[in-house]
Amino acid sequence: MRKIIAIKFIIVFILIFVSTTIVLIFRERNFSVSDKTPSPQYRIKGNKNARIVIVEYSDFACPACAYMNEYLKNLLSYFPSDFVLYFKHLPLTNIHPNSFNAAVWAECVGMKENKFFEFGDILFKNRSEWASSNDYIKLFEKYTKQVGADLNKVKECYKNQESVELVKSDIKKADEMRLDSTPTFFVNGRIAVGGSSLIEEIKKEK
Amino acid sequence: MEFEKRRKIVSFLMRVAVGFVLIYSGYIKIVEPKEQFVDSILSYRIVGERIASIVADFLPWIELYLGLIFAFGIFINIISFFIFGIFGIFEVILLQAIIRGLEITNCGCFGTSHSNPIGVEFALNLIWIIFSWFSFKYSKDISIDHFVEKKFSK
Repeated sequence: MRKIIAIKFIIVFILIFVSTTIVLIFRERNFSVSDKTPSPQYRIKGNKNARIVIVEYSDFACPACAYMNEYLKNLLSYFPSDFVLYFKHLPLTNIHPNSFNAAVWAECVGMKENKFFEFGDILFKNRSEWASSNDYIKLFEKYTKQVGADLNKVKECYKNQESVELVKSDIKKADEMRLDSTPTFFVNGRIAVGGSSLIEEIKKEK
Repeated sequence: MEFEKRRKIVSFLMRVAVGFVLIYSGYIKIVEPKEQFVDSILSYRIVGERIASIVADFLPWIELYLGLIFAFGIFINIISFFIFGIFGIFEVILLQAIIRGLEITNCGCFGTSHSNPIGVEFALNLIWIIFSWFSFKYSKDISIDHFVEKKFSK
């Protein structure tokens, strides 16, 4: 009886060891990718000559991204000369169906009125309002007015799909790097998936 | 006799399905940012951030290991007990969320890769409980437990 239990324990141990190794390898696989390329001007925040470059792939409906948005805002206000942030889009439309359109609209606010980050802040704060709403366009219009942007210009840009390609280009780049979760960051080119990893990577640079 | 044989095979397949669901669910949460899962846990409004963070650290690994050991059929009785526990607790959590009318945008089942409406998830979870029960009851003959006991009991 003891022998049987011992054999079963050995098999369990082997299974746990092998599965843990495989999962950890998959978790680390992204470390071979890198991104340091800048975003368009209106999606750049901080000192352009900063020592630490943070590229962020984000989704306006993602709660963790909203949390990290606040964190990064504080970081950039406390250390304005040390950091530069390049914002990039990775809307996860399988769980946040309105995210893609939010990104496209935010691009228009950025392109036409240079108020991308102000509009982004409102999107993050009100994500539960628009993320699952059928009337999200009306809400985007309301937020656009709140940031003081010219609604007609933004609506025209959205209607003509002027910014769609920019969002698609970020998604394509993310797909090439096999990024599938948000927020994903690159700190001076090194990947950090999620907030805790970002903080770890920033500590290494300090 | 034929019926029993078929029942064994079906329950074995059910066990593999339950195991796969747990493995996938654990794996996807391990490779994705922990904050996503923490946020899903918090959206059920049962525990605070500290406990949610601890759960997010350990639960995915527990799911992965339980799924794997269950799929292979080792210590079926004991592992079934834990699996009933996990599915049972989740079912209660889903039920309270439905009753309280909580807005759950991501159930936290499969990270950001997929999420069902909470009612659908409740029904699916019930199916996994039934599958687990069938596996526990009828699939023991097609398992490592059975193989090891047969080979080394002499």
